[in-house]
Amino acid sequence: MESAIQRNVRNYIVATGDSSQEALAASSAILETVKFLCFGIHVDPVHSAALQFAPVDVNDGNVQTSILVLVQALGEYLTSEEDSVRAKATGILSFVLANCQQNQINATAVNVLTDFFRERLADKISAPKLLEGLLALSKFDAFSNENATKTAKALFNVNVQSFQQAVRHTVFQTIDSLLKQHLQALQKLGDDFVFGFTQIMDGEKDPRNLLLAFGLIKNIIHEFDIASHVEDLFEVTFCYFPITFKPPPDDPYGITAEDLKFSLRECLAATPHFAKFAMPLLLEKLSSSSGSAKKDSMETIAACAPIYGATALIPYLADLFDALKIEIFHATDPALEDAALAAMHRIVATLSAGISVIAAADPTEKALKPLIVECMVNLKEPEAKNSKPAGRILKAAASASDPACNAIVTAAVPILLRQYRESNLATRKKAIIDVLHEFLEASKTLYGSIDDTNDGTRKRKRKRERMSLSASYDCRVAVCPAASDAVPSCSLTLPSSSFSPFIVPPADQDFVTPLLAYKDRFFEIFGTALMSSNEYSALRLGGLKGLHLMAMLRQYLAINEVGIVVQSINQILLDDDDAELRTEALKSLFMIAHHRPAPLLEHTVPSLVAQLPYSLDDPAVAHRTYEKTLHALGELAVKPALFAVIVPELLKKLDRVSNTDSTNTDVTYPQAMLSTVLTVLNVKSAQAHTDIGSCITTLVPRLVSKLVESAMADPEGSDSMWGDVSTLQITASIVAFVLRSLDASSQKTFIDQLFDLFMKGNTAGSSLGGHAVDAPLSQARLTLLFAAVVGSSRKEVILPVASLPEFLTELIGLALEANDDVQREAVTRTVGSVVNKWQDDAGLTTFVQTNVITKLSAIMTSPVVDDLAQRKQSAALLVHLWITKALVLRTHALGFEMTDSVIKLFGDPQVGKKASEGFNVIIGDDELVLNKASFAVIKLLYKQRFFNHCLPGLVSGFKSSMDDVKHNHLIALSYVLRNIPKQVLLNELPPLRFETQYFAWNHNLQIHSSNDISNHFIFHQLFPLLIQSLSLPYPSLKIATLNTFYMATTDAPQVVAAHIQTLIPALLGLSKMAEPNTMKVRIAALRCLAQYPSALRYDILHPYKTQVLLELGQALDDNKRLVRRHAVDCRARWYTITS
Amino acid sequence: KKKKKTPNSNQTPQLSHAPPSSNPFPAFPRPPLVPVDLIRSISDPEHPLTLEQLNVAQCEHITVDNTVGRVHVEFTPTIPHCSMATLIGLCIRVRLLRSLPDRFKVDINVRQGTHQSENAVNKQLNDKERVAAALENAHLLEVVNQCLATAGQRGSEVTAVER
Repeated sequence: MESAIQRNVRNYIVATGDSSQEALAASSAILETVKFLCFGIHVDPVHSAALQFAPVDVNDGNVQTSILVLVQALGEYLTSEEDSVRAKATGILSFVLANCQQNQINATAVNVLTDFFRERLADKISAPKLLEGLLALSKFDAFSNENATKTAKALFNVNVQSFQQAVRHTVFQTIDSLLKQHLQALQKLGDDFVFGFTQIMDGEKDPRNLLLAFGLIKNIIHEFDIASHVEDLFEVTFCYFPITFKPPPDDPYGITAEDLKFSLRECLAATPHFAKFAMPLLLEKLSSSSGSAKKDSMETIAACAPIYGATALIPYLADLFDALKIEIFHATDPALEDAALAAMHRIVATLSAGISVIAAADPTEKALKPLIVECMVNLKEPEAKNSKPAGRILKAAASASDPACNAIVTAAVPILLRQYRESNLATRKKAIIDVLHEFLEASKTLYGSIDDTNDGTRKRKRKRERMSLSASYDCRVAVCPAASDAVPSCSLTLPSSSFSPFIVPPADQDFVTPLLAYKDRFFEIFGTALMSSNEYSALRLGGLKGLHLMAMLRQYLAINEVGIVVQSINQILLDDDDAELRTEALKSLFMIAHHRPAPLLEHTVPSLVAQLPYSLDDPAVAHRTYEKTLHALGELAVKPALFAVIVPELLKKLDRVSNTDSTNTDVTYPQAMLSTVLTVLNVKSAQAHTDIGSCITTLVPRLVSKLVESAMADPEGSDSMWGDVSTLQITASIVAFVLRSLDASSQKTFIDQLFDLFMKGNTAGSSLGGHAVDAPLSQARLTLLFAAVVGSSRKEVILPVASLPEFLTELIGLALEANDDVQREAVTRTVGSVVNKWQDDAGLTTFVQTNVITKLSAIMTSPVVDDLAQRKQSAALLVHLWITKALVLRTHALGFEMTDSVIKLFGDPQVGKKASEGFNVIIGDDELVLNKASFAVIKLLYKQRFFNHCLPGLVSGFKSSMDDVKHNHLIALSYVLRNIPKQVLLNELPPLRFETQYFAWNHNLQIHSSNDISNHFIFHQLFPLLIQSLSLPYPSLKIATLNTFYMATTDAPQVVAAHIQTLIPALLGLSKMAEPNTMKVRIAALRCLAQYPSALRYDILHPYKTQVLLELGQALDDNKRLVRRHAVDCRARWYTITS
Repeated sequence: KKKKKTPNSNQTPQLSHAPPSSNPFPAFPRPPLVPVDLIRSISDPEHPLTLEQLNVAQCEHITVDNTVGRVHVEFTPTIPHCSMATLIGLCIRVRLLRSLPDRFKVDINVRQGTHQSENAVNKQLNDKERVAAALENAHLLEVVNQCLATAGQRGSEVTAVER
């Protein structure tokens, strides 16, 4: 009886090719049989897949036996005379071997199979399949060391390069697998293996194979004694340098030139033996004309230098430095310059690492001498062009090692200091200071910055990186952690290249910077430069930066000296008006505060707070000099250590100001203090600081009680400070920010307290009637606070009310009846927020349908008889709008329904305009509530849904409505355009479809489906509307429209071209200095016009050229400098239009 | 290729400062003009550098009288026999023609004693007819437009270089 395997084998061999359907079916059937079946039991191959998950009854040798049967079944085919049959039979065997349970084949079988495959490699036709088999076998558990050596030898006899890429890939994979698992056995082959591999690799061109081969070379260099084949290995490797590979445009393998460069570089940098061959060639490539080759050479030199070692580098030093210097002094490309500097840095580092090896005089000093001399020549004229690159060279070299730094500092700094003393020219002083900065930076790189003192991180980091540098022969070399990653750095650093360019000697903890000797001189120079108030600001900035760098050095300044730095910088904040200087001073203090907050707490904060006026009668209040001080405090307070001090100080000051009697009723100053707190909270919450939440027990109660007390004591809100609406708004925002940073349970506690206060009215016995219609004004307004808190609650916080519908009904009633605008706005916001976060969708729908829509629309559409009715109507509209917004955000169907009823109102001459402006409420972003930060339910793409929903209605409404209300649709449209993201609008402008739609538009074809063609069609109709809306008297809407035009010009030029006839006169009109055109409108119009010459075709623009140039002449004489500037640019571009 | 002397950059003038405005009628809000900004970034016809970088155009050699509408520009050719002086002057002329309102009359001169054929160049640059005729020449116009292509940078390229 024929076994399943025999039958399948026959099917397979008979099938055409090895990838036809029958062949594939047969081969997988064979595989399944081998994997899962005891010999002789027949299972339908179709169901066998299910067996994979069933516990397989495997007694030892099942798979093995099956393989045996397979080999027997294949027997005659494997030795067939016919090439194709033989190859095919080999193929199925390899396939099965690659996919069966490899741990179940015993050593004997593996031996036999390996020998079989190995011995037949000379068979050119079957070789590809045989190699696949060997690759599979090499991964078997039972594959012995002996097998490995035999296989390797056999591979070296194959002429690998005569095969196709895939086959060669298999060979490299096999070698990779052998090296991974049988390294020791292969090492015994020694030279034969190394040589054999070079033979295999010689002539390889495919990037996929090369990537693998480079990895293997690196491995071989590390693991084998390559001494006798260095040159062979080098030749097969270096012949690829420099890599000029360009991946094809749709490369599926994703191999980049960078990948290849990097792995080749690792090969070249793998052994010092390569040095004598590589150095001359690399040097030669440095003078190459191709920028990429040059860069590659420099990066390779940088990578190789530490491996090749000082001895190998010294003969080439002079030439190397010359070549690199040219790149730096005559830099054409910053990337090349950086690469050259990095290479120089590494070379110098290597030299110092070799001190103990070489008996001759200190090579670092010797090698650096000519370099230093040349740089010093260039530094003789510090303000000349070459001094900057010279400074950079010295920095790169000085940051490389302690001897180099010492040599350079001793040679250069005294001369520079003397030059500084002898010079009176501010520009020259500035240039010298710039060079001194380079030394400080170098010192920071080499000896560490302030942040890695006395903590274990630096050591740990270094250790890790040293391990990663396993290629490094010289273990004295380690990569320095890139200095102060965590801190935003305003200082100069080398842009990061593909490898870290900085090397420092490991003993740096014990070394101190040679700059220590010059500390006092530096203090003097930088200090006087900073304080020289009559000098030009670049010099002062230089002084500031110098002081800052000194403070940032590790173990350079004692804490009291940091204090001196801080005090010097303080003076700028206290006395100076130069904006740039102040900004830099703040940045610097901010960074110092990150590491050493104590001096700031001691000096900066008290002096700044003291500078704030105590009383509103202080002349400083009228002159607004406090603004700068507040700004400085605000910036610094972002740091948690300072936040905890500055905010209470501000509050203390605020108390004092509001308690001091004054005749001045202008409350801008106290409000500015509160705004500062708000800004700080804003920045901190954007950076996700965790110390905001604690304000709920400190800042918030203090402010809230202040407001409540004032409202109770002063019902009419006559207190100028606490009764003012802006004060209330700022405080509400502060409270909202703090609340947002709390978790649900803390929120709940606070909200419960607040409900007690507002709804039940138990504030120390007396009641706060914020939620009553007839409440005193100042109490009524406190509802804003209520809105801020309720609006900022998390979704899961359950409000302490008996029933949500009742609560909402009550609030809506209050909103409709309220007398005060602030109260009404606040209550409607609360309503919106509650509706938005209402989790029970069914309950929400019922409530809105039954209680809201009918009731509100009745009021909105009822005829207005008197003022009271009118007020009620606007109130109803407002409530309606906020509920709509709440629903639109969660893309609730009712929201869109309610939007439609708003659009219907546009036709009403009474309420239409207000309704159209209400679109700003619906789609605009609110700061206080219903935004992402305040945990509102916001669905993705809700703006897009809204846009698509209301656009057709607005367009058709515009067309069908009467002239006196037409513009309402335009106003709404402009609000929509202003608020939707650009991408949403662009989806409406698929440029490719233009021809068809243009045709449709031209022939007045009506298309009424909701597919994208009709959308684009709508946009075409939109254009005339938009142009018309430019004549509306609302500047902000005009700007929104103009921005839409601006965007459309680049993204849908055909649409613009079709309307150019109306657009150009409209834009020219808006560019003129006439009454309704504000500066921003004029600029926006000019910006649009300026785009046309590059975006539209000559033949479209040519008819307008003369007119545009003429009329732009008027804008050249505009009163506003910014407008003139845009006019000049615009006109210049129109002049360039030529056929 | 001809070599030009690199100008001595001692005390580089601060070009970003507006020239002193001598507007005696603050009630008549004619804004102070900054023609330096307009011309500083014009490219040299031969170098990849701007007139500011070559010190051809310098702030203190430009005067503006806003009340009567007059601008006077003096430029310094890099060498006394510079053959490009006329072209550079023409570029400045065209740039100001395009960028200043009509009410301004613009005089453009080579700085005294900095060019061999100073008078000829001056005459050519301030002759309306000859300037107009030069701009009729399509090739010349193209060269001018090329030089002016960078003019919109207004010195931003200089600060970008200083890292």
